[in-house]
Amino acid sequence: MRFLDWAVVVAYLVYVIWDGIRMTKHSGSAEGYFLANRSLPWWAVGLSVMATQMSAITLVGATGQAYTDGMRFVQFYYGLPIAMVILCITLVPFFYRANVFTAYEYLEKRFDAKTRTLTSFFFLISRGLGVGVVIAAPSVILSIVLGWSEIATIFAMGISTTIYTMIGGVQAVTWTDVKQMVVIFFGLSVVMFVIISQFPTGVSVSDGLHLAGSLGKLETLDFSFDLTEKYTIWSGVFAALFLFLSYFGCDQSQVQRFLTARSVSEGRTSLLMSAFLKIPMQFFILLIGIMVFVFYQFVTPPMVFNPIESAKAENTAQYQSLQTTFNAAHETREQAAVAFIADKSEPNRAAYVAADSAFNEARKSAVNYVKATSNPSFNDVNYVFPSFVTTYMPMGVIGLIIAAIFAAAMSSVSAELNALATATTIDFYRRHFNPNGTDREFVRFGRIATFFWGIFACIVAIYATNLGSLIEVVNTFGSFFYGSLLGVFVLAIGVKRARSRGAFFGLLFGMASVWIASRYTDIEFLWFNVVGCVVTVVAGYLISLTVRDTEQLREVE
Amino acid sequence: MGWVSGKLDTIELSPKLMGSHEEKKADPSEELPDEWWHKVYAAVVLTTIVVITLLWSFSRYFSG
Repeated sequence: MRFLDWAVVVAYLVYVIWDGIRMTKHSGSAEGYFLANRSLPWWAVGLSVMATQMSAITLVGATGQAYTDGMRFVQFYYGLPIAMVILCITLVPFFYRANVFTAYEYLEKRFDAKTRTLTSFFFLISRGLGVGVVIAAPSVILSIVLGWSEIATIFAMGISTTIYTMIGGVQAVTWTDVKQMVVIFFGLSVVMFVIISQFPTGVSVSDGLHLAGSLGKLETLDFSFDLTEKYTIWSGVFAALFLFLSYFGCDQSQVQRFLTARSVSEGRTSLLMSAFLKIPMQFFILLIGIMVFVFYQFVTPPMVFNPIESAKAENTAQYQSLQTTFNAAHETREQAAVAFIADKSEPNRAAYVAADSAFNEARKSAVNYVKATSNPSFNDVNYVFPSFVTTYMPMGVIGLIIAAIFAAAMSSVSAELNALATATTIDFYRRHFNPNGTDREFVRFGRIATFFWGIFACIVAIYATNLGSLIEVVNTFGSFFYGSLLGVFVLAIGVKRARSRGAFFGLLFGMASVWIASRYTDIEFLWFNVVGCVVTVVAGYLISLTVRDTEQLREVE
Repeated sequence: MGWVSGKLDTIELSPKLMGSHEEKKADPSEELPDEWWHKVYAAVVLTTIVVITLLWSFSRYFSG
């Protein structure tokens, strides 16, 4: 990082905070602070929806994953457009016309205060811990790349986001999201251009794609039906569909985005923007990882991408021996790659595949060595992209990419803090403690709640960086909650006979079923959403049948 | 405006009844007709199928 890079990062941070703070003038009333007076255009809301979903770890992790595992991850998004269509038909008009601030507020209208409070409480717990992880994951990487302490990186990201979210409310969140998406995609486009321009003479993009394709790294459809396999077309189209329905339709951090739209039509259009753009966008991000992979066919990559772990081990004799083997394997693979590009015959392909296999074995030995001697849970996938950027990108571009990683993290964190503050204010403070409060009181409480959740997230992030298992706990807890939450909304909107008792206990049954599935089966976490939703709906319906409210039923029928 | 919304007496599923007095009065001129949305939804599904097919063709072309 040189002066120009630092200047870009600092300029980005100063601009985004200033841009967020200047939205204060729009946030005088509760509706202005939490819902932007339902006045935002569809394209701004749509970009905000996408920015909220794309955290820094999605950006950095996806490129690293493409480098190591290819493009299979894109299948995860195949169910997203269908989820968006279902939400546009069902939940968007319901929420919008019900004039609610939070998704859970609707559950009180349909069921009772108890169900609303329970779902909102689970949202606060899971999202409150989740936002800490959203800050922690890139902070660990950036602290190594920037040479800062983890705490400094956490607070640079967490506090700056908290400041503009607290002051500017949802207007600040949305309009900074728009600019952050521009920074992210401008940065990624520049990286793509620079990587391709650094390919050796005579190696075209098409050649690079043939290299990656011959190793199976461009696979975008896996038809195998295996519940223990994370990314297949079935997990993408069915299991992830449930996750996306729940995330975009029942998670306040996303529901609040489309509630700020001018009308139902604009709210729908904002979601459909993701439906059209998300798969190509994710393909583009993964393609960058593939291009990094192609680049490293002709330049020796680091044997271990995490520089801290590499520095710890590099002076040992065994590591140096592994490095020698690794370098030789790379050289053989490079020669095989050049031969394959010159003549794409079957023998050359077989030789290249064999050379890549030997290379992977050499790297695997180094990774196992680090695991055995230093860190048993070592995984350096998330370091591939930052390591590449800081080593091979020109001055200024490094700063731009670091700013893009900050932008990806901050766009998610701001929306989540805003949603946490809204649920705290509307579902708890206004509902239980101050039902007759004034707009000013609600906005003031919303700002305090944003500040509280911002500090809470930073503290969680500090612990999450030291306790790897906490990240797993948070992710697992989130998957316990999402399917079951969707089940409650299915009961509310799709099952006339559903009653509050059924919804309340159905939610608890759903979460318990996911816990059992996670403990006693090997199915991948995406399928937990299906399990949670189905059990909640079935249990909720059966429990509702025990409620004797024939008078109400007659009224409906 | 009452801040606390009372539970609805009925459980009719029409969004028009949700929120009772709080219901948002959307300007009809802002809303697009259902027929138009049905075409948009069909376009989304069709585009998704086309995109997945293109991705599959892409991987087949460069893997072959």
